[in-house]
Amino acid sequence: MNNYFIRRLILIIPILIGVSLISFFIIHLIPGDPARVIAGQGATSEDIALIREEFGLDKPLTEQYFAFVGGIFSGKMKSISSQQPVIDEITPRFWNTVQLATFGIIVATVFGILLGIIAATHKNTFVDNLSMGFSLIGVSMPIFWLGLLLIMLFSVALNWLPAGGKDSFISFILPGITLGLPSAAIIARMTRASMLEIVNQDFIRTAISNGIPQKTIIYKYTLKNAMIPVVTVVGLQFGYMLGGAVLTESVFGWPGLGRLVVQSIFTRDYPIVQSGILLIAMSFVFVNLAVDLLYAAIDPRLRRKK
Amino acid sequence: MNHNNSMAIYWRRISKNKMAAIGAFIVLFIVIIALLAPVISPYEPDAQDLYSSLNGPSKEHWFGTDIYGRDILSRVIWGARISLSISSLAVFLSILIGVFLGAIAAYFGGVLDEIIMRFFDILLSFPDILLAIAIIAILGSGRSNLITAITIYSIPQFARIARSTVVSEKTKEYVDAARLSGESEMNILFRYVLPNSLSPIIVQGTLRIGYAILIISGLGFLGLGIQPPAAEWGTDLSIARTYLRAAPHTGIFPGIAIFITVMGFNFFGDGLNEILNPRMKDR
Amino acid sequence: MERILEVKDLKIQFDTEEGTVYALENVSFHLNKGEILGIIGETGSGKSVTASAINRILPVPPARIVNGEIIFQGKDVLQYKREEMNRIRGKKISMIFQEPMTALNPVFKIKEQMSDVIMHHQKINRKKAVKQATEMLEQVRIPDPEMVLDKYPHELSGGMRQRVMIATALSCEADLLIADEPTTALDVTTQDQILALIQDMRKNLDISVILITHDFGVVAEICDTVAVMYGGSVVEFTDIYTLTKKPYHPYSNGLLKAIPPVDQTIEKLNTIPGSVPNLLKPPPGCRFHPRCENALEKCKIDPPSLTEIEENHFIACYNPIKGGEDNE
Repeated sequence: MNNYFIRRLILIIPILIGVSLISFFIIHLIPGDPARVIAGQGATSEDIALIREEFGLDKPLTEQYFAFVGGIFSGKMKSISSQQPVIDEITPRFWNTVQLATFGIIVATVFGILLGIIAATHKNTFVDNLSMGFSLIGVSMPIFWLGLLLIMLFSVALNWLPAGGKDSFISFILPGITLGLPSAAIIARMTRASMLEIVNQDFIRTAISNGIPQKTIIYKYTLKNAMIPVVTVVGLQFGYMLGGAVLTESVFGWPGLGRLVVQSIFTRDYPIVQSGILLIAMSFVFVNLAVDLLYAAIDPRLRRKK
Repeated sequence: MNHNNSMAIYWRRISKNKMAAIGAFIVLFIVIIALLAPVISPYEPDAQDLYSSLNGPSKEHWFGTDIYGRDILSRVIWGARISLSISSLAVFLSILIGVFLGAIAAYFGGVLDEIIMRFFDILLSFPDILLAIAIIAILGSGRSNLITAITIYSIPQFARIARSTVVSEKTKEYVDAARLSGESEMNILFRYVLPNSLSPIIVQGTLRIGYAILIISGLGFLGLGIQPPAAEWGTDLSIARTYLRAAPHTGIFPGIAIFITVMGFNFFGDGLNEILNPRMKDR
Repeated sequence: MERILEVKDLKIQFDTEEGTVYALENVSFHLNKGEILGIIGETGSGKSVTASAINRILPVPPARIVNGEIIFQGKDVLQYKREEMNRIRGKKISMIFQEPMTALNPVFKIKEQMSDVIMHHQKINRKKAVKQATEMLEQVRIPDPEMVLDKYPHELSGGMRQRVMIATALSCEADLLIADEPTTALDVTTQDQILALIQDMRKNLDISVILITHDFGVVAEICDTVAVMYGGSVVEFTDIYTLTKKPYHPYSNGLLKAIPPVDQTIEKLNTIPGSVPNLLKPPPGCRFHPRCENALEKCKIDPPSLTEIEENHFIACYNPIKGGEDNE
């Protein structure tokens, strides 16, 4: 366990460096003079010179890179539009995104696994087709359109739920379902496929031939094995939600990090764009790490002897 | 199993696979609509008529009109053109680049393999639409930048498929045989080894087109994709959002178009997968 | 002698994408209490399908039982309902399999898997069940049962896993043990140990055993009676002594000749020419006729049925080897 943990930790270091390099280069890859791009149209040459100095754009790249990474965490790097440290701008927004994604993944996991089990235990029946039909709809649905439809139904037509903002628990319902449903569809398909795969394994045949009742075989013997790949999918989906929440946040006016990044692209607030993208990607890397470790906890074959 | 017999099974699978058939039908339907857009669309997609703004569906405008009085049906039809052309071009490019990079990484191995695959790992660390957003942040919005973003976004998938095929095939006997008969390394790689990855690439390519359409419309919805007044489904939905209360129909039809198109590609891709790589042990 | 099991005219087919597989036809044999019956045949001869049918673990569909009876302790198991069958499996009829690697559930400890079976059949609590599992592991001569109980399957060797399988199968005092190629996946030394263990268990626990194998050596070592299967049918059924001395069926004879003698060097090993039939399109008549030296015209048209030609010696053949060939 310890060995595995350490190996897995070391593996993410180059990934984190790579992710930070890409975020760092965003500003340098912009065609033309980055200072001029940041300054925007109609900027005077003094403005541009000022920006060049403020961003350290005249210094060597390595120095700039370390200034970039250090600047985010030390608070030295400031948002162009608000002049506040980016760390103070993005942290609360990121927290909002994490809350939304957490709610979304709960919706996705509960619905997805239930649906998957129902489909698998009723293989090739009407119930199976119905739940798999739903899940095919789920993966084909543009998430923002799903959000719009839910708003039209529950906010505009029925007036039951708020169409946007983040005020109370009620505000979570529509965006959480929107974010969760497509993932529920994926989790359901995975659960079904995995259950059907496991049911054909030799050890299930052993359990049957030992007279273990069907309920125990499905809900204990099959399910625990079947959950191993599902855990990976759930983790991946949670990671994707951190990035993909930007569309949901945009539909529901949710004050999340993704939406802040998109808004900052329009205002050319590159420090926010860079650090926001870096933070989301980093958290995705860590979520994947957590999933791998959880995987080892469920599958004893992956554990190392102590 | 003789050849005739396996062909018969193959055909039985296609005819039995309703999903693939439905998917193929939808895809074909959308492609025809996109090709015939100039002929079949009742109005110019950007012809404004401010006197008939936000009208509901009627005989003149089957899908109604948007805030500028533009015919939504015509915009949906022309939108198929934009979505299909950008997504298929981007997926095509990413297959070319991804397969090439994945194949040489696996075939030559060593440091080259490490560098290429680690780089893709890093690209894949940007979840979902975020990589596309990052690329748009660099390049700015617009059609060719959108194609670049979607292409880069899809490359790692195809590189991985090509890589795994090459890794498993390159030690097989026929490769040695080809080498002994004096074939060049590149010839062996591209003429003998890579064709083995054709069926997973076709399947993944089909699914990725559907996915690319979702990303294109998503970026359009965020205002980072195709810019107005061009008829793009996601961009139109982002305009419609403001008028959901007064004119819900503006928010319905472009969404249905995205949904059905993506579903068509998903059905077709899944169906192809079942036909080309059936799970033999599915009892 | 009390008959614990009698299989009569079993006929099973599978409906697959490629067409109907005529898996079993004309399968009959019986087993007396306390004896070990060997079912021997090549891959695809239907021996495993037969075993799974007795325990009713064939997936239905695609399997279809067209005809036949499986009388176990006086009752036809094919007539039992699913819940009734769950009380028989593991309790009266137990089964162990070829692959001890994959036959145990990888995510539960041995303790939990064994005690689940015991708890289900004996309606006792976990603690008592674990205690019983410990005793059972001692019975199968596992030196440190407590330690083994606390392990996951992947932490045990193949032989150890097979012992655990046997212990689990016999933990509820089953009357019939079906062992489907129990030693095939093991190394030679372990094979012998497992076979010896099965023999001991038969004696100590008073069980009857069906041993499925493709290895004549295994059959000769521990079985009392033998059913030879070919192409989905039982072609010869008798006691082990008669079969090795006087096989009547040309296939049994070929099978015996194909065993390399241990005590002498020979020029060339005898083999039966041809290959096993494709059960999607089995040959008409006797399924062995295309490979049979003794085949008559009749063999190509009409499948022979299993008949008793001497006391307790059954064959399905129109033209058996005259008076049995001497295999000295």
